[in-house]
Parts: sequence; C-alpha cells; structure tokens
Amino acid sequence: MSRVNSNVPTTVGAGASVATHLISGNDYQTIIFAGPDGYLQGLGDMYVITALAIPMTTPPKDFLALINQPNSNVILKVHAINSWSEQTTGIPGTPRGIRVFRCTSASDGDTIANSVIPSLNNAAGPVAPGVGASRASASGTTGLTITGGATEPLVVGAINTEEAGGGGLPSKIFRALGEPMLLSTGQGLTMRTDSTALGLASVSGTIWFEVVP
Amino acid sequence: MTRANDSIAVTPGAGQLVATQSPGDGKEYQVIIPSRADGHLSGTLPAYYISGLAMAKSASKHYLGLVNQPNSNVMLEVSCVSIWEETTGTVTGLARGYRLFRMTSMSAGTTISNSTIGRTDVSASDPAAPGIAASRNGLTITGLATEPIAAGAINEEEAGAGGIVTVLFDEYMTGQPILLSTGQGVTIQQDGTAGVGTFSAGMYFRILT
Repeated sequence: MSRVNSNVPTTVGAGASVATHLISGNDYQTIIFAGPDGYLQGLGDMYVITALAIPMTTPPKDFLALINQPNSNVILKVHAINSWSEQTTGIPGTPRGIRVFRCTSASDGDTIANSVIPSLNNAAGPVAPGVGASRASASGTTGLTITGGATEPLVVGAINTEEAGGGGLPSKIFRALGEPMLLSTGQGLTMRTDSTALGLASVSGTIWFEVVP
Repeated sequence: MTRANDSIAVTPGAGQLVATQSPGDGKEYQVIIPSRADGHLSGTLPAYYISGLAMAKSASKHYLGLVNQPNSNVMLEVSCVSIWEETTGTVTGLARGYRLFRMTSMSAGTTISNSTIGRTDVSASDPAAPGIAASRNGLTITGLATEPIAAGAINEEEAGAGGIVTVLFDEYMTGQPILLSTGQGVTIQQDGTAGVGTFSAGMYFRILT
C-alpha cells in the first residue's frame, strides 16, 4: 500500500486556512517540522570551524576547540564532527584514536576569529555570537591548553595515517541523529589525539554547530 | 517532554475529505505530507548535478565552482559535495586535502553549459537551470573566503583506498544545505601540495525560485 485507504469528511468554515495538498480527492494536511524548542527545522544559524593539517606532535594533542562563552545567552548545538589525516610525505602510519571531550575553556593555539567563521546560510551572515573557537597552530608542536576537561570522552573514533592503508579517508566521529550535543554557556568541546607518538602525519578536523538564541 | 500533551476534537461533516489511514484498530490516523520551512513539499524540488572528472592536479588548484549569478532572482541550495580519485596507472600517492570555500565569482576553466547540467527528475532536455554559472578545471577565483565551509581528504594511492569517495558536505550532517544568495558561490580547492593521479568532484544543488 502506498496511498491512504480512508478519509474523514470535515466541514470547511470561515477562519484561518490550513495548508493542504490535494491528491485524488483527498486533502493531505502539509506540516512543517519544528524542534522541541519550537524552532523550525532547516533554518538554523549553522556554522563550521576547521583545523587543517595540524602536526601530530606531542600527543595527546588538543587540536580544535569550540566554547560557548560565559554570558553568551545562546546555546550551541553540535551536529557533526569529522576528522582525517593529510600528508606531504609518505609515513609508516597507524590507526590513531581521536577523542572528543567536554571542557570549559581553551587557550594558546590560534584563535579563529568570529568574523571569519563560515555560515551555511549567508556569506555575509552575522558574526557567530558567543562563540570561542581555536585550533592548534599549524606550525607549532604544542596543542591547545584545555581546562575543565571531562574524564570520559563524549564520542570517539579513529583515523588511518598510513597512505597505503586508507590514509586520508575522513572518519565521521559524530552525527547528530535527532539529538545534537548541547553546549550551554561556559561549556565547550575539544578534539584530541590519543597518547601515541604519531610520526610526521597531520590531523584535521571539522565541527559543524548551530547557534540558538 | 516526549509526547503531545493535548488534543483537539474534530466534528466530522460534509465537505472536504481529509486523508486518513485506518489500520484496522477502529481509528482514523490522519496522513500528512511534510513541508520544508519555506512551504515547498519535501522531496519535490528538482536537484541538479555538476561534476569535474579526472582533472589533472596541481597545488592549490580550483577544480569545480558553482555561482548564483547576480540578479538571478533565485536561491541555490548546495545539498551534497563529494570528491574522489581516478587513475589509469598505478601511482605512489598520499592523503591529499581538499577544501570547499565560499567565493563570489570565477573565470577561466571550462564552462559547464546550463543546457547540459543534469537534473535528477527529468532528462537532460529539460529547460536549462536558470541563474547558474558552473565551471571546472583550473578556475580563477575572486572573493575567496578566509575559512573553508567544509573540508576533507582523499587517498591518492590505489593500494591505500584510492578511489573511495569522500563526502565533503552533506545536508544530512547539518540538517540544512549551504545557501547561495545572488552573487555567491562555492569552489573546491586542493591543498598546497601538487599530488599525483587525477581529481574528480561532484556537487548536487537545488534552485529555489
């Protein structure tokens, strides 16, 4: 069965018009989905931050962090996290673990200015409010300095750093299947490599997130 | 709260027929059609596809661009961008990085004629996509953004997962597409290493009039 097998007659009267789509004599009410917070789905203020080809040195290394700054008056919803390796020379690589931890703040490294954080909605979109984003320096050996890091990771995955063994294939570390990660004010996330020495390869990562007032 | 906390009683009468499903439990379940937030019925907008196939590589090269032309009076939604490697001989490859950037215009390269842009719901003889500029293979870009809007990598070597498609962006990751207003576009750029083999890319997008 691919179509409805019944219907209910209703009396049409004066008042507000309810959107329907007429197919074979039956009116199908058309609806627009909203989240449990009432915001219409598909219209969020979505942003992305990226760390590219960060040297895999001094493990464990925190290489990309997103913080909902204190007193921001917004909530951040993290929808997706990816990680992968890039190379300029061949290496004897191995599968390396990537962990995502909650944290409260990040320092050192390079700040990603709010004014250059890309938006999915508009090239000249509003500057991401209340967002603190930073990444490890592409030229340095040390990673971000994290405070308030959680004991247990929120999500984990791995990447292959060997060019002869799947190196470069992005790993989908996190996908929000209905429920994103929520970052209230003063909360954040950090992406961290495991504690094994990683040779000459690099690590990259991307975090897609939504800003909800 | 995970369930509805209220209900509305409806008085049946003569008039329009509301679509329902009666699965045999004595109740009528209203059947609805979901809509996008802009009112378009979900799954009914045509999707278009542009690609660049087996293009020669070079460092920082721009391979595939899509621009919503100024004064087009349409909005573009980029729903999926994927990249991969193709080879005709064996190569000693590495993990090569690629980035998707916003930009404002492009020149050079090879223009993909609107009349040949593939559409998912009808054949290629359908009217050309309006308001679209698409080009591939060696683009000159202006208005390139500072930060990428998506990024990823592919493996160049056949002995190391070469040929496996990497999805740079998919609207299912974020729940919404990349929007391109008039005068806005996106481009796929290689990292700063020349690399080996060839590069291919494809991009799905929708047009909102």
